[in-house]
Amino acid sequence: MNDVKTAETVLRVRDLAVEFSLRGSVARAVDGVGFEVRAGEIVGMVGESGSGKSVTMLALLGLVPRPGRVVAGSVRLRDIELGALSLRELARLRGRQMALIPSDAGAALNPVTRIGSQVGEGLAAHLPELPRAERPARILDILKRVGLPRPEQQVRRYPHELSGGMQQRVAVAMGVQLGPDLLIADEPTTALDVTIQAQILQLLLDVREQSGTSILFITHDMTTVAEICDRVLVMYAGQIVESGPVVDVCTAPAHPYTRALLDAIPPLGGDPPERLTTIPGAPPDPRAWPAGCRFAERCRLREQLGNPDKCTSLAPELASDGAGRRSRCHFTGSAAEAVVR
Amino acid sequence: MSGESLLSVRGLVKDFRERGFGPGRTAVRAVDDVSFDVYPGETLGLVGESGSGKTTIGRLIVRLEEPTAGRIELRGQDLRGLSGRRSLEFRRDVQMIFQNTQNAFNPRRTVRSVLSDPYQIHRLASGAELEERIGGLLRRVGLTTPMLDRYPQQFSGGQRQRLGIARALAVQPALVVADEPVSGLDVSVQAQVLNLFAELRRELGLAMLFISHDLRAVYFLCERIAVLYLGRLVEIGPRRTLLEDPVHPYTRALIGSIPAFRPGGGFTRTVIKGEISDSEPVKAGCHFAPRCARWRELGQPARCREERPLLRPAAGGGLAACHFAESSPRPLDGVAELAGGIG
Amino acid sequence: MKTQVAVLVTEPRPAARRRVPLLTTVGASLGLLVLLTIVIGPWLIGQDPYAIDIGNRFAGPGGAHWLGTDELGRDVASRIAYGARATALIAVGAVAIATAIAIPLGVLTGFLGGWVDLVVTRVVDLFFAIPSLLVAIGVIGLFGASVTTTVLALGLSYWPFYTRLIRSAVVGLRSRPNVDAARVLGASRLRVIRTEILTGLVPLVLVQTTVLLGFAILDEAALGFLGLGVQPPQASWGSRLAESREFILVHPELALVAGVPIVLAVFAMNLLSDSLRDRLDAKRTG
Ligand SMILES: Nc1ncnc2c1ncn2[C@@H]1O[C@H](COP(=O)(O)OP(=O)(O)OP(=O)(O)O)[C@@H](O)[C@H]1O
Ligand SMILES: Nc1ncnc2c1ncn2[C@@H]1O[C@H](COP(=O)(O)OP(=O)(O)OP(=O)(O)O)[C@@H](O)[C@H]1O
Ligand code: SF4
Ligand SMILES: [Mg+2]
Ligand SMILES: [Mg+2]
Repeated sequence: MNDVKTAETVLRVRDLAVEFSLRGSVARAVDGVGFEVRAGEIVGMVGESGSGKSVTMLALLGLVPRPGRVVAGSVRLRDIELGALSLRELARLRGRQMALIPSDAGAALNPVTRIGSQVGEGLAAHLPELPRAERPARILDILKRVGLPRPEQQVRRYPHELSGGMQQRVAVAMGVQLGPDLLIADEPTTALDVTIQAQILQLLLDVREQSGTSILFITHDMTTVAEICDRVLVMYAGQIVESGPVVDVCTAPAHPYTRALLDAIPPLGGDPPERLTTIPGAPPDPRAWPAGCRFAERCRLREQLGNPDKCTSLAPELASDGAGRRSRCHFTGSAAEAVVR
Repeated sequence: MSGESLLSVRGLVKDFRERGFGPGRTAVRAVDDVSFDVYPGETLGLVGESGSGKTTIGRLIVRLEEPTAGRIELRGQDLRGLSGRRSLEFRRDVQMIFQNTQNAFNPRRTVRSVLSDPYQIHRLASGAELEERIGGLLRRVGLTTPMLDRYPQQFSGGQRQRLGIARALAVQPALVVADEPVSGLDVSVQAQVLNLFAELRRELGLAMLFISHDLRAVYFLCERIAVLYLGRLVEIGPRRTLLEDPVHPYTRALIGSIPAFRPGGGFTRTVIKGEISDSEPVKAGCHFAPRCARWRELGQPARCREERPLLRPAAGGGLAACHFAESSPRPLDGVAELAGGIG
Repeated sequence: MKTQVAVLVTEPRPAARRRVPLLTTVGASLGLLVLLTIVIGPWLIGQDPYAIDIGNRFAGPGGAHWLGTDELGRDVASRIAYGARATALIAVGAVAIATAIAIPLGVLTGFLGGWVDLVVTRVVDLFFAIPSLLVAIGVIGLFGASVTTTVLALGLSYWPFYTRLIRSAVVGLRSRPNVDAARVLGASRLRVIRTEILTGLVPLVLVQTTVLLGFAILDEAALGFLGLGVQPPQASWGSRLAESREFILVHPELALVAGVPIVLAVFAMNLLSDSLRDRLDAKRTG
């Protein structure tokens, strides 16, 4: 993936912030998130439940649900500023330039519409110039491409007649049929068996290979990120706390949170340890983010450094090392050495 | 494994009739002639694809379902026809932890009320003693007593799973069936819950049937692992043997499809083509045949389609149900080499 | 795309406690008004609802007669207030009878399933096929019109659909994992019903009680209007309606005064049941 580094930028997100106002209190679920996705790149976004991954994704698509609101930031898809678009223009863009693969295709597909018609709806909406007569062939073609067995039969079926893996394939088909520049996949394999998971991941890799589609891959599984992503963004409490090439981040994490996430993966092979490494405590409340570092409460590094005041009084910046890695920790770099395993 | 088995399952069969009415309904064989043992203090892992019958086996063992055929024995005693007091005694011996943490609790009852159940049903404690034992139980699973007056939905996923564990442990069972107790939890929360399981097992000498499709969790917790495919047990053995030297082609494919976590190693998973639902299993033969790489390599021998493979001792101390177990080359580097398939 | 996104944010969010909605306040106030009428109305008005004063028929409101007098010179206000007592008694009695049949039967059939369910459900279906007014009229034809028979008639016409409702709720509750958990702990069927099923029915029963109270008030009025309910001169909202019917062309204000309390009470019950439903639903998902 060397060419990726020099490839043009497809998505550029700057200082994105999303707030949910609930009964007087305001929860800043996404707080100053910025990143880029280049052409043909697969970028992973990982983090604990509630860290703001899905809300970020919804904000990119212009679909933040009420009472949520994008309060700051800019999202540029190639040279279009999405914030400046009308709802209608945004809707046109979705599907054609930017598509979503949901985590639970079974729930996202319309239960009373046949598979063929559902895939066809996207074509009708976004490719009206395609003659009606050519649609069926096009639908079969895309379903064949995502590896759905016997597509001629499947198009006449309803979603519930398909297995979870097949439903997910249909969702991928709907996402990629118009050849979008960017595919956003929110936990596309979490609900699936490992064997089916492997099939879908292979499919995403194939799509990237064939069409050069960029993929933003949201998950909480570091092992999957390590396999298929080029770069990774680690989210914690509404912010990116670390980002960089997958291999670097996974082998030498710069941020203590990333380190902790990696340590919590149960090892496979050999004699299993007596106990697994865990992250104590729970993430802070989005309605009242702590003043200093949001991870301070749970941070092993801070403890090992003798609980310096700086961590709880001053919020660390997402500092760049100039070589494509960023980390939001006052003591970046100490993480790798200080944590003894 | 030696010594008396705690739980012994022999020839277990469970048929479900399809929903609907009339004679045209076909039966689904969810569990097809399964036999295994769980020894005291041991944790046996049960893995397999979705729909392979893991949950059904768990439910049969805790007697939430009646078997169509076969025997389940606890300490040598047949569970069929247990009645009245004996049945209540059995409930103290075998408990279950449920998969869906949200629905496993009545949203209208406080934690105190829910955790009183086991003590009241079995008349183990009441009054101040009850209060004290519930408090102790809660602390044991890492929660605090002020939480007693809250409702289950006011807890996080991980906390609720701890409540589920507490409820099951109240009667001090000898065997716990845990159905996907850590799926749907964050990695860090999952690690906490797995540690709790490991601790409890060490301290209480608990035996467990740990059902999961997360092979990492299973490998951490279970000394032995059993692999199911379409209702049949295809391989069972010590965890290291199973992981490093799997014999059955399905086990190999399954192990191969776990993400290896070798950053920079790229995507090296085995991708078995086709899905469980595609392969209409040949009743007489091996269920895995339509997707089996070894079967194709061997030139699609008729035996696989005609004769059901039985569990036989395999190298490494396990058992595997494959006609051609011996003819398999050892997989290189613990990673299965299979690919291809139907479709 | 819209439908896809709805399911993405699946984690249950802490439900924000909402302000009490306006309609709930209106419903509660109206309900309170009806309750006050029943409890202290007669005492407050201080008139005899049965005292006939032929010389003072169809008097307009004012003086001792707040709402005027009727065709026999009786005080309308106190007839409405005493009538509210009778109507409320009938409504509560009818709902109590329906509930007393529906809960045990619904729980039994829904929980046990099998042939018990099959047989009872068929019987319920049979009753269900008969229009409820017909059931009521049948009962009244059999026992004659009175407060007691009205209670019975209405109660008996409500139970079939209520039983069905309870049964299907129980079928849903029965297959929840918390029921399995109780069974694995060794809970007897009775205990499971008590701790897992009945608690789960509370919201449904609360909502249905308010809905049925509204129905019963309306149906009592309808029966009274048809002359099949509480018989004049005994005061009830239904009989008041029947009495005013004869003079509807000359003195429509009497019918109006008879009708307004019914409308308000039914409206109150509907508002209350709606807000109860919203509130309990929010709690369940919260
Ligand atoms: N509709 C909503 N109303 C109120 N708060 C919301 C809503 N949607 C999200 N939030 C809040 O935004 C924060 C981020 O949630 P988000 O769904 O993005 O997390 P996530 O990282 O996708 O987690 P998961 O791994 O569980 O999917 C959470 O604190 C959540 O409570
Ligand atoms: N009550 C039931 N009625 C009919 N069929 C059932 C019933 N319960 C399970 N089955 C069927 O039995 C088979 C095994 O199901 P089971 O739930 O045991 O699988 P599982 O291995 O636990 O799968 P998962 O990983 O998805 O939980 C499936 O084909 C399922 O459809
Ligand atoms: S800033 Fe301090 S508390 Fe935050 S991650 Fe770094 S060391 Fe830990
Ligand atoms: Mg999410
Ligand atoms: Mg299951």
